[in-house]
Amino acid sequence: METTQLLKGVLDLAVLSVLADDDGYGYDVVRRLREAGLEEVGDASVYGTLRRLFSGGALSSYVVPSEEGPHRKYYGLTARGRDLLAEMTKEWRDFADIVQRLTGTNGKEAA
Amino acid sequence: MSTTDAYVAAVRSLIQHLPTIEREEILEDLTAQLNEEAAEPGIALEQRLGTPSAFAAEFVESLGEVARREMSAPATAPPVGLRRWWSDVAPAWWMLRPFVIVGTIVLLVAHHRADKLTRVALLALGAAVAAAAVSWSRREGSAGGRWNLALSAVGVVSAVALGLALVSGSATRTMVVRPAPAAAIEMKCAMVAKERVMGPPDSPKFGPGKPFDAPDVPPICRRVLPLETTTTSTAPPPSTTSTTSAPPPTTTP
Repeated sequence: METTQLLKGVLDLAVLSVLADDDGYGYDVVRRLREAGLEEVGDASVYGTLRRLFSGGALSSYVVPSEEGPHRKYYGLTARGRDLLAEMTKEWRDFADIVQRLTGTNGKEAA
Repeated sequence: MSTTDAYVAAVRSLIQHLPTIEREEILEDLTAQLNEEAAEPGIALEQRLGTPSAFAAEFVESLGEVARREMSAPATAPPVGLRRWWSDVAPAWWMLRPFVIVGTIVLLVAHHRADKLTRVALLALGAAVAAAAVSWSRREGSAGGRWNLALSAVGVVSAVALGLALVSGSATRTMVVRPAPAAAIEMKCAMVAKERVMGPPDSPKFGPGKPFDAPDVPPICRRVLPLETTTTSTAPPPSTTSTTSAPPPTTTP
């Protein structure tokens, strides 16, 4: 299974987590995800995810004027976004536990 | 035309079908990113971002159902009718709610028989709860949730209880459901007694020596005042302590 498939499942969670630490604009979020280790993440996917989460009410946005470049649109979590993040984190952890147990058995057989 | 502009133009042509706001947002972000990356040398544009068609496809896919929206309307359409009215009223209710709840608690406390210190402590607690509820309401606002609903339920019950207390309070004022306190009886009956003593002479009803045991004397005074009648009376002598064992204030404010 390619990393990209795994990524699609957790991208919402990853984006929400990054924004929970600090507000960010599009490319900023991409950078932070890559720095966290998700090197395969596509810029377009992150932009689309941001718009989708914003559309769903999980994010709020505001524009920060900039002197040198274009004004930047920053995203931040709303209360609903925070709830969503908590929900998804729990789901992810539960899911990861299951997968851990499954793979744990496999690993022992191989050894 | 620079490679940045060419790339952006290529992506634009591929996302014409998207809602206007989504299309303009991504093109703006893409332009900003490319300009930012232009400072970083090295890797070709398409190697970093993929081909314009790959980029456009990936973007549309990650948009999900947002891509299929007809209009570039906000996710939550502006409320109409009843919802609109509620969205205007709701903030006022959230601010009022804690006070309604605390107001009811205050009334309950004021009529409680506990000592003054306990009552003051309860009031302070109530004020703290109100402050917390107000600040919480302000923060959460329309974020629904069970707690908000529960608080609203308590608020409604309190408002109803408060309303009932006000209504029944005025009702009991007209009925003698509970005996009036001793002091009030004394005062009222003292007025009657004064009338009897100081009344105009030659009046059939008033004047010294006229009976208190008359139909126009309030029943409760007949028990308190001395009965100056020629008939023997079994009424108890007037006393400063109440003949009734009435608890403090009858009516709620």
